[in-house]
Amino acid sequence: MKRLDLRGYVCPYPQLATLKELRNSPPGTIIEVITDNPPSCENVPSVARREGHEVMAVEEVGKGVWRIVIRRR
Amino acid sequence: MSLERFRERVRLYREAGVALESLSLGCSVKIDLYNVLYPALALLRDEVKRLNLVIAPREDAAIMPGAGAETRRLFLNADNPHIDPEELEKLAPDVAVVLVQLYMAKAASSDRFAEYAAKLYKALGSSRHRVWLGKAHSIVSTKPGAEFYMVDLFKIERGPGYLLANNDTIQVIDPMEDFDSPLQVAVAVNNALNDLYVKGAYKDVHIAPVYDAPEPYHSRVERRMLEYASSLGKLIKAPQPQRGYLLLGATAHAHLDREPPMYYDKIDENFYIIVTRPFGELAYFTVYVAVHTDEGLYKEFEKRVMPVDEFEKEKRRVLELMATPNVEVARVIYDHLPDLGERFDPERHIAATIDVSGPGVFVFKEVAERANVDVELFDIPLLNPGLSLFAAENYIMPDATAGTNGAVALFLHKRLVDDVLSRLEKIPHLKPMVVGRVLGRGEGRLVVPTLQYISSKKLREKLESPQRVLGGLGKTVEKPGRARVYVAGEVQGVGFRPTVRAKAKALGLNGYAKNLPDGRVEVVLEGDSERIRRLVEELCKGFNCRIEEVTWEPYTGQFNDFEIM
Repeated sequence: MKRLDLRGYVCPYPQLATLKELRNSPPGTIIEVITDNPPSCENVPSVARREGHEVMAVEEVGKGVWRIVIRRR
Repeated sequence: MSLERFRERVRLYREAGVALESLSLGCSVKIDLYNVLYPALALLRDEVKRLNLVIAPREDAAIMPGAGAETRRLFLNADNPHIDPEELEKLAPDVAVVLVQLYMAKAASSDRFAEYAAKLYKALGSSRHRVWLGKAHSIVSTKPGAEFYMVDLFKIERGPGYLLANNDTIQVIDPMEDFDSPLQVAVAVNNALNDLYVKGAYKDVHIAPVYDAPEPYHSRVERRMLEYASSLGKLIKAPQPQRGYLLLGATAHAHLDREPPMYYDKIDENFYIIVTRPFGELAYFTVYVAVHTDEGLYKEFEKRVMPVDEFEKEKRRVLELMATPNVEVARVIYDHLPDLGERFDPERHIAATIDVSGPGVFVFKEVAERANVDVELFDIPLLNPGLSLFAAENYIMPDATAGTNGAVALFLHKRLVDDVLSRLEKIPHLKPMVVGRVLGRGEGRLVVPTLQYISSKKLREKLESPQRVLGGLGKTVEKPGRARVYVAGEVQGVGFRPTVRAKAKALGLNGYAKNLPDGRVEVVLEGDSERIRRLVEELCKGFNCRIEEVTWEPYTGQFNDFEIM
């Protein structure tokens, strides 16, 4: 599992960085995105799904910090 | 090379303690209006009823009856906002305009944000003196320590006409510009003024700037700000946030000696929509930064849209356009407004106006909802459609039609279209055009020619559905009611009826005020019951009069304006 710590980043960087990472990884790779930007909890999974990847989890892991787990198609 | 210039900028920002990637450029310029802010305010409706506070319907600017104002600026702690009730009673302000900068986790959801907004409401509404909350502007910050509530309090001088007040503040427009760039400062101040201009208010402009910058840059930004603000209006020196972060903006107010364009109830299928120029400004700045942080995106951009060198030049021209004051547009709007007390004539007067700001095409839906009509756009006039499409397709912006203020939308009768167009065409930097029409009475639906500029699924669904993006904040009547009020005392020949009308309009209420032969005034008000109740309570404020009788009657919906009889 690859971890992408994007705390401190606001739109559009979390979704751009996530897509870039997915593009550069072999199929089946699981990527864990950490973000503290609330709109990213919606944007990152939605963008990943539209590109055909599988969103496995979106959860708040601390106050104002979210973890998004995506599997590369 | 643009890449080297970009890296140099990133360094400059980093040295100043600001991460370029954490600046609010795209989807988090403001607290998310439709998913967070409006639902949060709807959650607070009951809270507000218990407080000595009136919340005006959402408009581009706070609108109050009056001829001028004295202002006072306070800063409150975001976690524990407090105003001494005695001080508030002593200051006796009529209206408050608020700027909120809140750490992003606190703006994550409507209920979390509501917690913070409720604290502010309590601070403003806990004294014996009643305050109107006219307009609030909110910014999300990635820096926890940069939070504050800034409250600009207005004590209104009585007199004919309306006082319009507004705050607009940004962190940065174009990160390629210096912190104290004259263009950026001009865009920020014009942002605040545009919300007044859009209602036709351009006379007696006062500007209280808002600015913040990391220490070594602060005094330069300050100098530039004060200089620019005093070139456009009377400068009000006011205290500043001093958080060492980036902020540029202003609280501005102006006087309007005509009736404001808020005739939502007059809009029907005979109305068309004019936009003063194409919009979609935000795509320039967001895409510029995005392509410089991702090599693949950079190449794709050059292949599909244009060479980056050319893009830089175009971006500069757009920044100059945004920095151009819109006062001439204000004059055209002003010339098409009824005189004070004059009846609205659809063939001579503009019914409604809105600034095409952050929500982009959604602003047309906001007007449609307020007017209870359905609207069709034939065209989405963007400054660079290819650029906006690139922003949408690459998930750089959830809504690539987002503007920043400056383009103005007018709702007007078909017989007035040619006249207003020809006036606007004479203004050099504009490109006015008819972009849509009103289909007829409806539920606030917006029909658009394409959804390709909107990448967010959630936003797409909102745009096409009759679902209300404004929540309970439009002119939507929560609990419709009607009250008949008899007022006795010194009420005839002292400007009482115009004052009642101005207040009713500011609250989105219809009805009439009529002089009776026995010396009293009869006031009939229709609209939201809570707002009627608040208005009745303060009918005699500033007059030597008393309320003799209030009768609540069933709502009829017979009025589409407030008239003096």
